[in-house]
Amino acid sequence: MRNYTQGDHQSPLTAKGREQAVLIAERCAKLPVDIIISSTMRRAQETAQTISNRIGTQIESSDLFHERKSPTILDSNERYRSPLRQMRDAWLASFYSESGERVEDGENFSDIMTRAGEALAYLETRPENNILVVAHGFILRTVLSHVLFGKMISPEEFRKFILSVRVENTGISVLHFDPDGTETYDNMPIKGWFMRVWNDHAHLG
Amino acid sequence: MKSIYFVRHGESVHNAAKRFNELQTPLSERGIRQAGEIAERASKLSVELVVASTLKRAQQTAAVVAKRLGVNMESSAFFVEGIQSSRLLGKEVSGPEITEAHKSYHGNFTVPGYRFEDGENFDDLKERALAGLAYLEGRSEENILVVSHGFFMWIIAAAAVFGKDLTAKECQGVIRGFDLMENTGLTVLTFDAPSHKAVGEMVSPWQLKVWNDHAHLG
Repeated sequence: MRNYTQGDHQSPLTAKGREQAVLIAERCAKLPVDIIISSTMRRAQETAQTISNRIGTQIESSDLFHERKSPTILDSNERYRSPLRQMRDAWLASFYSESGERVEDGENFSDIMTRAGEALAYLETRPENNILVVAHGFILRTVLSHVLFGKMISPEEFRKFILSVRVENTGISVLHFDPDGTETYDNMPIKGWFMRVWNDHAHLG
Repeated sequence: MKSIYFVRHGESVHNAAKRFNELQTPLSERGIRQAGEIAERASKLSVELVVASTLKRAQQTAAVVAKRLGVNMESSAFFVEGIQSSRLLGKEVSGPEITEAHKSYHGNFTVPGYRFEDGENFDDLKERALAGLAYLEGRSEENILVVSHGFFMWIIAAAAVFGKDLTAKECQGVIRGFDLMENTGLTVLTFDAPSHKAVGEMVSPWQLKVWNDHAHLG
């Protein structure tokens, strides 16, 4: 369901990834999914298609759930050779820096935080109540950090968060949105988004 | 790599009656069934030791798990529930005392040094969570199952993610944004000793791998 080291749009699932997709599809058959929304990247599309085939729910694609966007030049080159490696390091650092400098056309901290906010707003306005989103490790963690801190998170807090929160391929995380407030802890009402489950991967054994 | 499987205790009779738990509140019948379900699930993990909070509902849950797994059970006060004002114990959660107390407690959570009556404050909770994590780090076992509590698991998760410089604001984000763990829900932390290269980078040697997995509950 995610792979945070790959920027390449066309990178397909491995044999293991396809097996994991079947396992998560089986698991999803027990959930009341009204629609599948998938990142436009190939590995997400393949995962979403496997789930859709199993549960018979239609897929829509959205760029809001794309993995963090790397500079185009890194996508189409063997980026581990310098000097592109230097550019890659600078791009990776741009997610944790106050200065907010972009590297070429790659996303930086404020870009991805804005996109995470847009992704949540988009999900709020969808008419369906049960939505399955197929996305990627970095954007999923960014969305979770947005749920916790909104726009108030600093790049340093974001760095801590990204380094310490794990994601598995085909792990399921569950977010809830309640505009009226849900009782979550001994009558303490929580309005808006909150995270109910993170990275459940019981189906992987 | 070390893995710690944190389990929230099964449903207590006060959870079922929507009352604040007391120290000796026992599991409900449903809570005992839930303990059996998480024990079954935990039998697939290679758990070497069960550590339980000293409170009764955690002890009862842990005993079921340890028996099923055939491993030792130890008790630790590091993992008891966040200590609340003693005046509130046993009260109805939707009653006026607790509603008012929550307003004060959560409204002032980030005020430095703030304490609600005789309960633990943020500094106490943070210190205890970090001490509990250090204790687990120091244990020789690689796979430990810890039975703890709903409120305190937020503090453990926040301390694991944000490390020793955890701020009240970061902690409040976790309390606000993570749902309360289900009774016998499973949260997994992993521990990686930081490599030399990573020393300057890592803020915490702990990683939050799973929060509140309750697939075993159906």
